[in-house]
Amino acid sequence: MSGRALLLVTVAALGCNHSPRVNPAWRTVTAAQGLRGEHEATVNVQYGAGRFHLTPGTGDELYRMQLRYDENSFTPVREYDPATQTLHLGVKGRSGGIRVRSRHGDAPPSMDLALTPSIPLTLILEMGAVEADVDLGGLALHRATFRTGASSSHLRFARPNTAECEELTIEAGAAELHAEQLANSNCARVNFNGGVGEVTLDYSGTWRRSMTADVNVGVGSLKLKLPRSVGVSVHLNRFLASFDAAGFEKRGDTYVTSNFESAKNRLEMNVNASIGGVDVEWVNP
Amino acid sequence: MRRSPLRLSVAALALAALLPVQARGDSDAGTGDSNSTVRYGWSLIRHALHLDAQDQVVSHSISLSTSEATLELELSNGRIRTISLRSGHVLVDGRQVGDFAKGGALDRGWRRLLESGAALTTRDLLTSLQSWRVPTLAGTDQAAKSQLDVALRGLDAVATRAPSSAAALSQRVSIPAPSADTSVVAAAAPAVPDEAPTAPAAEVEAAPTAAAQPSTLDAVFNDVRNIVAVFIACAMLGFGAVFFGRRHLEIVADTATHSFGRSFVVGLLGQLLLLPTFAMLMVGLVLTLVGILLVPFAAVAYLAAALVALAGGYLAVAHAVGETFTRRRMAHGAFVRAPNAYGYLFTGLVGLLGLWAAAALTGWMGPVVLVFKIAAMMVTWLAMTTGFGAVLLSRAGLRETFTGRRTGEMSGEYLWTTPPATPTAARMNMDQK
Repeated sequence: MSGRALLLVTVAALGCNHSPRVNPAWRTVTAAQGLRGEHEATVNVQYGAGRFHLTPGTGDELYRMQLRYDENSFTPVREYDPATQTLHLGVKGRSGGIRVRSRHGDAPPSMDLALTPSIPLTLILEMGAVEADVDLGGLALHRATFRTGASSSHLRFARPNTAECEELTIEAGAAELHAEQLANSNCARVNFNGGVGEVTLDYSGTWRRSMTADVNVGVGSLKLKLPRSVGVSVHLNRFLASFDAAGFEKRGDTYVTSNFESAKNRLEMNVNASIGGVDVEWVNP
Repeated sequence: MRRSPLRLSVAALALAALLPVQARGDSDAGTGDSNSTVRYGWSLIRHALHLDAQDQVVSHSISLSTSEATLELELSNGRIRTISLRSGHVLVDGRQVGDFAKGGALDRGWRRLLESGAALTTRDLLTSLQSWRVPTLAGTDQAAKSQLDVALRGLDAVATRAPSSAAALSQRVSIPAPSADTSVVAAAAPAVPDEAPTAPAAEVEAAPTAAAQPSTLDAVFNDVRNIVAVFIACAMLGFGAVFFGRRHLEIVADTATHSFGRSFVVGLLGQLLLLPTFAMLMVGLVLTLVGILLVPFAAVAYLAAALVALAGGYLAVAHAVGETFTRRRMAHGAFVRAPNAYGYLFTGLVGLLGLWAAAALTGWMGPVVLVFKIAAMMVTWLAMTTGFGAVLLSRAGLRETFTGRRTGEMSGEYLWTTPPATPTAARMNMDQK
């Protein structure tokens, strides 16, 4: 588990409390910004606690965001630097930490974000204790990073990435994470670093190029959904972790599918698993 | 832009008409002063007469809570126009401009407008604001609505430009003047033709490009400014060194002057050995258990000493250059008002930094500047290396061995008139023994 994810988990765990004395003052903020001739942009989203939802937006708006937050505890962040074409969105705690106060029956804080599919993006999503539903399909992603702390996250590429992506990095602390249709990401490299949790990495979708993947799992279960038509090799390094090798041939330390040499697209994985199990499910693309 | 006398007269008249209105509003609210009233009134008139440039809105934010309904419009110049209905007050950019009845027609209308505007683009939102009417307003609500109209006036939304249509002309939406029946300002000021200019997209594009590429004059000015700043910093350091350690500085300077070659070689070797010595020092400290604790202090002290030696050596060389130049001038009969260490240092710094100044001033000439820059870099490195060597040779100005100064007992040829009883240093030492 990376240091940053651990920090997010710690902050979220320490910060989450229920204070009966101060009632939350809910505020809804809607913000939008049109495109001004940008050719690319870097988007950095930091969201500590609540529900997070990301989808592709319309072509002529850089972003559209709707926030619901407790203004006693948070302030919204909405900064755009036109010189570097960098956008910062999210909320930050007023006292520096993350405090979630809610009464029974209140809707949780939330953030709904739509990003432009018209220009290439470098996307950095940093989530704390968040229930995230992220659909990056249809965006033009150059590079993407998704970090999450103690959360339940669904990350998917419902449609193919319209740009060539160098790298997708997913870091999860203590999390339940399902990453679906990763082939649509069109990334040359897909990395995953997980601490504790239940993780599903689904490599289905439209394959347009070969991929490499570094998968590091601490404690927990890892399910790999691999398409049959893709040549897959798994270099496995495990400690007290099981591996379901059905469909693979073992060549030294590496498990290889029979079609690895002949396949048009290949997936080369380095898997490090400590305690838990690595399950493989074969799917049709 | 040439402003006609008629416009200015109208502005003056409107200002005079506005003052009582605004003053009354302030006294009602119990806030504000006459100065801010005049300033605000003047800004309103400038807006009303389009004497200001049109503000372009690049993004918007709508914030709603039980106690507040706020609209933020980010302008292309970086400012944010904030219009808020909060706690019974209408606030524009944080300043109270009116009151409204909570739960009244204006409050409900404004909230409904913002709620519906949350789904709109910035341009559509401005269009929606343009067409916003609240039919049943009276009293403070009506006055507040007028202030809202004024605050929203003069705002343009720059049309969004996706990359594929970057060449297309920008289409902008202008908000026309509020209707006269709801505007106190419009009633107080005579009607002025609305001549909101619509700039072509080329103007919008040109501004950031021009800002990103400074002119040649700007570049030269910046370079010269940097040289002057460095000169001032060096001069201040040097004057401090002269004030607090004149003797040491002069010894280093004399060493550099009289043992130039030796100083340069020693300085060159010293520079080459700086890093290995540092590494050996750190390793040596780490190998001793007690020394580990000293590692951070030793590292900082070593780096500080090296920097001081380099800077001090450079200043000493500047002193030496200045002294040599001044003495030659005096030898040729020039009158120098105060030939002292401060003057030497000043002159020397002018000489050493002169090449940098020449490079800065010839920056617009293209490749010629490279000659000056290379020469300046070489001279600076030469001075720093020689100075560093002089610092090492003179043990930071404590040893006069290589200064060329005569020390000790005078030789016999200078002592021919000295009576035998004169206590020379050698004799005194012998006597003491």
